Amino acid sequence: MKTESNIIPYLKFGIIAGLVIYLYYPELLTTVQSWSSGYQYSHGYLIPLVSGYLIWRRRHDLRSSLVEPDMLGLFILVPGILLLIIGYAGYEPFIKRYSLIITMIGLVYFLLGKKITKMLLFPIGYLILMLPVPFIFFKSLAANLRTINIKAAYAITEVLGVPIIQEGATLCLPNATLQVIDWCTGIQSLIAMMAISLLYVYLTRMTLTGKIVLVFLSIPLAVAGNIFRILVNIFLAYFFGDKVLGGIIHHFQGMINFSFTLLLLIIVSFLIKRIEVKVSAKKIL
Amino acid sequence: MNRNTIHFIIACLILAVAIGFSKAQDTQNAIPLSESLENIPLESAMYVGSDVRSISILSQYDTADEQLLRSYTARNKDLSILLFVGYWGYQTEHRSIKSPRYMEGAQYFVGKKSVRSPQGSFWTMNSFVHDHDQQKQLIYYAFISAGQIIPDDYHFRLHRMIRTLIYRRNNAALIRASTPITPDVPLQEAEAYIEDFLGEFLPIVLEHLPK
Repeated sequence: MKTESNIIPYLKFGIIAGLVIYLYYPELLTTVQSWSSGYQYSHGYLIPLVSGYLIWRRRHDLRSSLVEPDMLGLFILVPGILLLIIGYAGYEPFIKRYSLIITMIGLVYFLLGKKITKMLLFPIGYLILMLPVPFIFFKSLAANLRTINIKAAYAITEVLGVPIIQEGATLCLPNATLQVIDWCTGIQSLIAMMAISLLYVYLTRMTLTGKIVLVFLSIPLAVAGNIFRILVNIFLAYFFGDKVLGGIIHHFQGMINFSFTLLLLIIVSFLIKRIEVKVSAKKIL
Repeated sequence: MNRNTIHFIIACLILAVAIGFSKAQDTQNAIPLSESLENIPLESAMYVGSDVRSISILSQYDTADEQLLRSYTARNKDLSILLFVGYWGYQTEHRSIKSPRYMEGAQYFVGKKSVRSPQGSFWTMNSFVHDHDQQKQLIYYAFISAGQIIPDDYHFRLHRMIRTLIYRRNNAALIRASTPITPDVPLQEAEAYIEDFLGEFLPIVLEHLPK
């Protein structure tokens, strides 16, 4: 039977959560709208669910931990709120959105203490991945990825003896023309791979060095995967014509390619773990 | 009162103050133009212009207080430059200057270019090639705020935020010039053409904007 003292913590949580949601409601609304407005943020729906699952996984540890409110939390909470105020005063939505994460971490530290904050730091920090970045940053990243993809695909195709000309973002074959638009630069795969690799390293047992190496390796793996995808399109178009690239083939190709890149990530993580085991065995000897 | 409750009350107070601030409405006064953009000359010694109407460009900047969209052609050439100038007397989160890069299509050769006037002054602008629907165009643009020409998008956002915070004013303008890139007019030629044009017209545009 719940006593009055058992209900009070839940009541306090509800009040704080309600105030935070009321304070950040406009930013939360535009964030959710961005998830449905374009392909680049469609993964946003999953991020809060993953974050919630990660917290639920540690529910026993959280329940058994002592609540030790810490004034040091103000050094995180106050800057988070100040960033929000600066975002309002300076009409800068990007700063307002990202201040939410800092405010949440600050509140947890201030109200629940250091030990619980350590348990919740990753699940709360992971929510950064659901926030849209400024469009100009997205465009700049896409432009850089496009340059890498096109140059690599062009060089490999030339070496393999297929006649090809590159004109900016366009690759010209004798019988087809392919344009690498923003959605073909692999930017979505890159964002998804970063999200998955971060989650993967959090859930697996690995040294800190191994985790950092794996997260950083996910970037070239995503880029390599997209270069491979462009090459497949080039060869399909060269041998069968550009009509073979339309519609369902293009759609499924993306999914197959991403699954393959994910498999590579898992293989790399196994290799890293084997290296770590060998290194630690040598240290013992 | 135990420590948990004290921390809870402090957290609620901090959040309540933040809510109070966020709900407070702060209106800005619009800063008017020194002279209407319509008074930018249609003709000069080197160029002839005409007003145009492009739904795609004008709709992108429909929050501007004043807009100008013209096509200019050099008297000795058959190549047009589309010039857009927009002015915002004040900006808010919902009426702010969007970067010309905020559009669909591939963009490459993004970089800073110098534009020199016949009198010897020079400014830095941002440029890129836009490739969409098999049509390429070279675009030069810069933001103008408090008499400064700011080519960088991030710098402009920071500058706008700081001016809003300190001076409670963030009036600014955008100048955007574009010309097509074709097999007959390659990139280098298009760059030289657009830079010559901007060297002549940028000082004229600056005269129409508040310092």
